[in-house]
Amino acid sequence: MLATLLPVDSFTVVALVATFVLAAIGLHFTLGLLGVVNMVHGEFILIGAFATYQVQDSLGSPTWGFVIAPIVAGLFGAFVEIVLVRRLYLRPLDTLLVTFGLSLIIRQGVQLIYSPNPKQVDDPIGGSFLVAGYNVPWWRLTVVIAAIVLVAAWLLFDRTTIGLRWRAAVRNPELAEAMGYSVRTARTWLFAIGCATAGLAGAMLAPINTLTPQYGLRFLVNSFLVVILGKPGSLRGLAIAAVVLGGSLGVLQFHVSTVYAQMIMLVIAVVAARLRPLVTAKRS
Amino acid sequence: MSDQILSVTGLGVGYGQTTIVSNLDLTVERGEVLTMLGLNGAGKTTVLKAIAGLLPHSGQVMFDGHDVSRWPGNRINRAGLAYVPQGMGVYPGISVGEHLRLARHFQDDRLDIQSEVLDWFPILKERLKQDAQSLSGGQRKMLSFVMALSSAPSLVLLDEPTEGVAPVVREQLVEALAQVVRRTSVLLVEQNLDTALAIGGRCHVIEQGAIVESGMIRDLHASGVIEARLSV
Repeated sequence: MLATLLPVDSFTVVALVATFVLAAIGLHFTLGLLGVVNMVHGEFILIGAFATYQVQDSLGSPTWGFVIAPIVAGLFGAFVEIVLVRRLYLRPLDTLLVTFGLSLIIRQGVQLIYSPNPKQVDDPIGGSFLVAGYNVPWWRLTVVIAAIVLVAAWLLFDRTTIGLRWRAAVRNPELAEAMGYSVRTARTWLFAIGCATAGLAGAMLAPINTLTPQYGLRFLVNSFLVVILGKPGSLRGLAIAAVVLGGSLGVLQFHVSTVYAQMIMLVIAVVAARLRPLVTAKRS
Repeated sequence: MSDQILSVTGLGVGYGQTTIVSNLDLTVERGEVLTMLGLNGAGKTTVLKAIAGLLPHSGQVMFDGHDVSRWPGNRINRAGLAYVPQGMGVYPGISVGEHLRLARHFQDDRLDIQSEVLDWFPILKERLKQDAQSLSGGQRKMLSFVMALSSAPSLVLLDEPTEGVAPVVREQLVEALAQVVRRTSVLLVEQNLDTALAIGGRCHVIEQGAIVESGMIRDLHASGVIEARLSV
């Protein structure tokens, strides 16, 4: 019934919004909270996806990949923060250059190990069900639930003792250090968590995409758009921006070609970015 | 025998090629208040930040019997040294209540000390749920005081605690400062001579990162030395 009333497949739009959230949430930590212009974010999504593919290749099923992928990406993220990023906070152009260089190295490394040929991660659940005339694949529903759970979990985590310490450490590092909190430790954890979350996103989205060494790039621009439009550092803002951009792209794709839909979405992003300060000023 | 809580020897700090402080020595006795007076750009804040472990420096800093010269700021704080920064330092987007939890390191056994200090500034009790960034300048200074004293430190470094506040708030802060001096050792940086005189104690006058005059502040004031140096 609903399917005949609405001109688009609503669940596909919801799933696209969830994809935007899932792909961008890691960047919320690295760019939004730590201010690192993290051009290697897409490659942490790539690492998560290929870790899941490797698990499938070794064990015959990708299931354990969804546990291993965030761990691998998180540990590598901690290593990158300690070795490269730690010395570059508050130097955005330097972080841009270093993370861009690292992204090229990772992409080439994946190509050397796995070849440029497309790979596929199996859908670990498979199948679908009908709701109000719409076909809902179980795995896409899992992706939607994962996006909601992740946003809710981090909003709740913000209120915990550790969450409060880390918020303090990124919002006024000198004061936090003077009050007995290690800013260095907080930054390493936040960067690692951002990378682990990107790795989890890569794993979760792998069964609904084809994997190539360029896999991470397709998420990079949209993730930056969502984090910046939602106001860096604001998880609520990120979720709203994902609804605006992912939702508009999802609806547009039913009416125009993907290329036009993406162009219109970018125009919406620019207009929304222009209007946001006016809305904020009016509210305050 | 002297009982020094802080001993700084040959302190040197620079930014890039520029030297801000060179070869500076100072000591603070346990229970004493030492004031550093100087004009803008004299290097007072730099000295405090170096002692607090927030700036890389040369020379030796001994605090409470430990050589803390290479310790990070968070470790120095946990050893009992509190630093109240210049300006209105708070965490944006974090409530006053959360600031207080952070300041006592989430330890309930520090609640009594914190409540006692909070009693000096009742206005803060009415603002517990408010974003600290939305407090007035004076209220932020009050919050900085409470935060620094919540951990019952053995030495407090205070960087211009009455700078840029209304006269009525300044009076309140000077009163609080007098209470702080009665409780613990203090290294105070000031430009405002009236505040420094109200607190009393020993004083160094600083110019271009070096100590140029030393003595009891009231004696230096009576002889006109401070006025001459600061062109008051």
